[in-house]
Amino acid sequence: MDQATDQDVQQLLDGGRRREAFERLIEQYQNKVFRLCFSILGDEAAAEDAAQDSFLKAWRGLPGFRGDAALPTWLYSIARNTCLTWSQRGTARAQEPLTEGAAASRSIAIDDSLDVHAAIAGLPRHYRQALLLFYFEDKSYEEVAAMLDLPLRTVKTYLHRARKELAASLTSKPTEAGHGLR
Amino acid sequence: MACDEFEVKILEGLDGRLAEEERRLLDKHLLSCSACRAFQEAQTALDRTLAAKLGHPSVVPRFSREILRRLELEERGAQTLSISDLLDLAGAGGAAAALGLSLYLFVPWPEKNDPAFTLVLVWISTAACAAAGIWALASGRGRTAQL
Repeated sequence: MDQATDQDVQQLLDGGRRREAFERLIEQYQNKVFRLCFSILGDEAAAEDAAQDSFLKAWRGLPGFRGDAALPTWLYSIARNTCLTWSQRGTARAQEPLTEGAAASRSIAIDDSLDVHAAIAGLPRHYRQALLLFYFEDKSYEEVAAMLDLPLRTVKTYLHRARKELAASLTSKPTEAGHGLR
Repeated sequence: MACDEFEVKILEGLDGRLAEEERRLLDKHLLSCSACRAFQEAQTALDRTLAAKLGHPSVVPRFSREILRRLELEERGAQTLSISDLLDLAGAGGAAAALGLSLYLFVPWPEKNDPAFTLVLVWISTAACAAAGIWALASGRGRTAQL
């Protein structure tokens, strides 16, 4: 998170330069908001549209933004709500994210014979979101916690379980019992 | 410390979050626990693969331009009356007024010379013009919103 930029945006807002503040906001947070939407919706095109919608909502809300919450916190909250609305409308394949078509360019494989896409898609929604954001955001627990509005401890738990489940589903041969690697 | 707890430490180690003392304890445990060593190997391979393949997805270059374009469209639509709105209003209002005038001029109303009747007719025509204008404005904006 870039506090200097957040202060710049706040100063621009205070100075009545809403358009400049908005452009600065997009510049600073476009990728993060997009990744957050992608982790929730699991579809690049839908994530891009939802991210755009989120910024437009932010534009409408900017005059009322008084800095009670940190700027990214406020923006991520808008993005999460936007994605929730998208999911409820059924405009995104929220229930089946990261399918072959959704992220073909992001294919991953530990073993060529195993389908990592399916393994990630098969994770519980919260684990999957945390895992994707974790790798998108340079393995920062704090960033994932901020983006998903979760306590740090919860993020760690989700990541631990996600990685255990993923390894278990991707490991073709069972290893020693008692360690979750079936 | 049980193996479950060492698993957490193994993952924290992969994420570069292990203190020196914790790492020393973990290394000592790994020497004697083949199950934890297997877990560490599997997680290291998984971590390497996920880090390499998931990467850092980014927005397309036109992303910000597209937002600003949508913003301009939205703001234009929110202006009180655009030229197309005025055309919608004038067209619908004019049509309603022409219809009212035709009815007044060409229908042989028995009360035509009664000033009260004329007043009521003018009032009804005005209301019809206003309703037609509002309807045209709303449907015109509805079409714009669907684009």
